[in-house]
Amino acid sequence: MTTDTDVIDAARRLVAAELAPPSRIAHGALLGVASAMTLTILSLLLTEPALPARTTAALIGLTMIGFAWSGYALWVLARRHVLYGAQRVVAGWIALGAATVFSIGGLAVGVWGAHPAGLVAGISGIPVAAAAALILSHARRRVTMLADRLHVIKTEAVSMR
Amino acid sequence: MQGRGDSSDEEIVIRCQLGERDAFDMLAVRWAGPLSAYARRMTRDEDAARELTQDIWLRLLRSLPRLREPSRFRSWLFGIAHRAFADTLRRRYATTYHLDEGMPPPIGMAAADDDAALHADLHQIEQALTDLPPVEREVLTLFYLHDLSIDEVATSLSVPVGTVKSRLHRARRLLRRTFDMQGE
Repeated sequence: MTTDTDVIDAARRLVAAELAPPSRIAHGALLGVASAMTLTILSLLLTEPALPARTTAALIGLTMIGFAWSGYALWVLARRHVLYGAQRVVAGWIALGAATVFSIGGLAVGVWGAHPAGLVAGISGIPVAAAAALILSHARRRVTMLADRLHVIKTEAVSMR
Repeated sequence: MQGRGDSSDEEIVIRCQLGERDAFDMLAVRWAGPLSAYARRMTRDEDAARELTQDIWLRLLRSLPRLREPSRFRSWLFGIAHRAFADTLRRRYATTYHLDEGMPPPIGMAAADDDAALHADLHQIEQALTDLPPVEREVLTLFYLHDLSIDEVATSLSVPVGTVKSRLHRARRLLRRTFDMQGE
C-alpha cells in the first residue's frame, strides 16, 4: 500500500536526482571543450597550406566528431537537464566569458604570433560570443521579469492578510 | 490546489523557474499526492501508476522553464499528465490509438438526471471510475476529483470546451449506469 509519505518521498528523490548539478556541469563543460576544440581544428584545416590528404581527412573526421559532441551536449542541456532562471544567467556568463577568451586568444595568436589559424579561430569565436551575449541578455530579462512578478504576488498576498 | 500552505501555485512555480531549490521541494510536497492519485485512477495498476507518475514528474521538470503563464499551472500540469498517459496507452497497445478519437460508442440508456449518480460518496465514485473507459475516466477525474474548471480541463486535454461538456455528459451517464448495475 502506497502512502502519501511514500509518494512525496519518491517525488522528492526524483526532483533531487533530476536537478543534481554534476551532470549539468559535466555536459556544460563538454559543450565548452568540444566547441573550442572543433573551432580550433576547423581553423587549422582552413588555414594550414598543403596538408597531406590523410591529415586533411583526419582533421575533417575530428571536426565532425567535435560537432557531434557539441550537438549531443547541447541536446542534453536543452532537453534532459534544462537550466532554470539563475542557472541560465550563470551559464550565459560562463559561455560569454569562455567565447570571449577564446576569440581574444585566437586573435592574439593570429596577429602577434603570425598564425593564420589563430586569426580564423579568433574570428569564428566572435559569432559564438555574440550568441552567448544574446542568451545571457535573454536569461537576465527573464529572471528580472519573474522576480518582478514574484514581488507583485507577495505584495498582494501581504495586503490581503 | 491553493490552500495547502501559504504559497500559491503561481508563487511556487515562479520560484522554481528562478531556480530556488526549496521551491521544488514545496512543489513535490503539494503535487506528489494529486499526481499519484491521477496516475492510479487512470492506469488502475500500482506499478503502471508509479511509472506514469515518474514520467509526469520528469516531463514537468524538463518543461517548467518554458511555462509562460505560471498562473495557469494546474491546467498545464494536467495537460502534461494527459499526454504522458496517452503516450503510455500508445506504447502499451502499439497502435495509433488516440485518446481524442478513441471514444467508445455511447451506451444506450434512458435519459435521467445525470447528476444523480454523483451524490454517491467519494469511495463509490472511485470504484465506479475504474470501470469507465479512459476518456470518460479522465474527464471526470480532472473535473470532480481534481477540481479543475471546464476551461482548465479543456486546456489540459487540448480540446474545445464543448467537447469537455459532451464528454462530461457521457461520463455521467456511464457512471450512473455503473451505479445502477451495482444497485441491482
